[in-house]
Amino acid sequence: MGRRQDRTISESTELKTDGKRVCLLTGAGGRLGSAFCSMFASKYDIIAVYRSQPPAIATQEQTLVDPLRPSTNLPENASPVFAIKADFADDRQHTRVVELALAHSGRIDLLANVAAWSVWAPLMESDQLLDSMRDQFQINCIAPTKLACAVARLFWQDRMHDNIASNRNIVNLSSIAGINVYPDGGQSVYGATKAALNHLTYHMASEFWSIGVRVNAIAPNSFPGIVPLAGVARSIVQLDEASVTGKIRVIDRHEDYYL
Amino acid sequence: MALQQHIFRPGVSLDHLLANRRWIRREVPFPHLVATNVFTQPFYNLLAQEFYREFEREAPEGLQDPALRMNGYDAYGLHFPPGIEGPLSIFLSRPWHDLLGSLFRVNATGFINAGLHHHAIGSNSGLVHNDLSIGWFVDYEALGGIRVPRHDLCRYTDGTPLVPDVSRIEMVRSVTMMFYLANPVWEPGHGGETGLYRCSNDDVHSPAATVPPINNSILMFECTPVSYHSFLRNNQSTRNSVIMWLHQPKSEAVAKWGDDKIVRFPRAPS
Repeated sequence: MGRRQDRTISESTELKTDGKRVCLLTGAGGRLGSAFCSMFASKYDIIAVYRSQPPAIATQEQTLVDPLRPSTNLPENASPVFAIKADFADDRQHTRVVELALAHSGRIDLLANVAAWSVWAPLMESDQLLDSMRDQFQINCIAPTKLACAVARLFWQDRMHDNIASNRNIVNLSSIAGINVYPDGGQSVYGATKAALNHLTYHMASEFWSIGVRVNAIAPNSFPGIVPLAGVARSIVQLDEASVTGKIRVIDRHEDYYL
Repeated sequence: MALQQHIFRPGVSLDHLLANRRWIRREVPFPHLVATNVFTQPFYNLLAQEFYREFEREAPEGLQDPALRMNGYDAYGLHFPPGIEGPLSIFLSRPWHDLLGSLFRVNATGFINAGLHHHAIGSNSGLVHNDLSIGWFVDYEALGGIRVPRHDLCRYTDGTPLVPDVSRIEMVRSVTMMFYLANPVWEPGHGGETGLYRCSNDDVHSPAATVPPINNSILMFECTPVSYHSFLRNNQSTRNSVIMWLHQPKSEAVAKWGDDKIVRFPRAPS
């Protein structure tokens, strides 16, 4: 599937927009979100959405300080991200977040759905796992889909040519657990949410084609334990710079390929 | 790196013990600083080990010895005595004291109150409070000019003399620090965070921001009339911490905030 097929994963598309691309990032307080912000705050105008803990970088509400030289002006404070606190368990937050992002930056070029929720436990033994099913599906499947639709309705849907020219796109954070079954890993519900997200990614790619927006997902193995965190963060940028749509990029210990 | 290089000794600079030189200054709901991975892993490990040793030294029943139960607060506590030695002495060192003072640009006086807190699983949430409180000291000759409350001479909370003719000094807390250590791996839902609030009458369970008790992380803030905070109930994990306050002369605190803003501890029954 693809409006424009990629030849290689690392192929870049020259951008036609001036200045930094605008990235709406969820899960910014988590490990991957924080790494993405740290690595790419100078490349993107990042709107960093977090649930409880802001990312550990400069934002409009926080700065970095060297405790031994507190008066020193640190270079990391030069590119603050715009942080928004929102809990996507509340369905009213999707529209609010998009409205705030558009009010701040005027446009959204990349939606990186990185927020995730996982509870791993045996199905037959864990009430906690069963009780978490609704929340896991909410954060891992429903929220990214609703947020994508909110961006489409509030900004992308009447801008097809601009979207294509600006290579606008969505990257969903899936998991290799949504593709493979790892016996006795306790990933039943989590894996199911990611499998559902993969299928949603394919359908979103099909439907968002009509407005010139690409939709892909990354499906890494466990990070930073099995695959490097920086590599996973970089894969979001590579998909943003590519031209593929409707692809799941699997990132494993020794393999990196599209499904 | 040899373990010896991670052991804190008086006069040693902090450079080689700090693992993270990028702490975060936040403005909401009131100015505060947070940092994770504060100390090098070997030095943090020593601190965590010493946390348990200190409780074992002070109380036969360890962490939950009834004698260590705190008054009006669902926790167990220990004070650092004058001349404390070992890794935990870093918190009573001049370099650490000066570091905290410089981060908040307060006139740090060398008067410190510090100790260890242990919240057993299921401890109740605290009350929303600001720490802008009176603390009473006795002056004495001490290394680096760092003096801690002499609980054998006068009560820290209300200044009640415990020996005749003791000369007491009335101070006000200027900076609060909490360093989280010796806890199980923290996950969302475990509780035990420090809640930060906009108002004194905010619901304790609806903080404007929270700081999780992740091992080797720190929270600190200047004590002001609006530095409202509270311990939040810990449902699944113990919450252990080092707690510490710098102090300023009362006259300075009154000039800065107003006498009516200074909190007095209720006088303990004699």
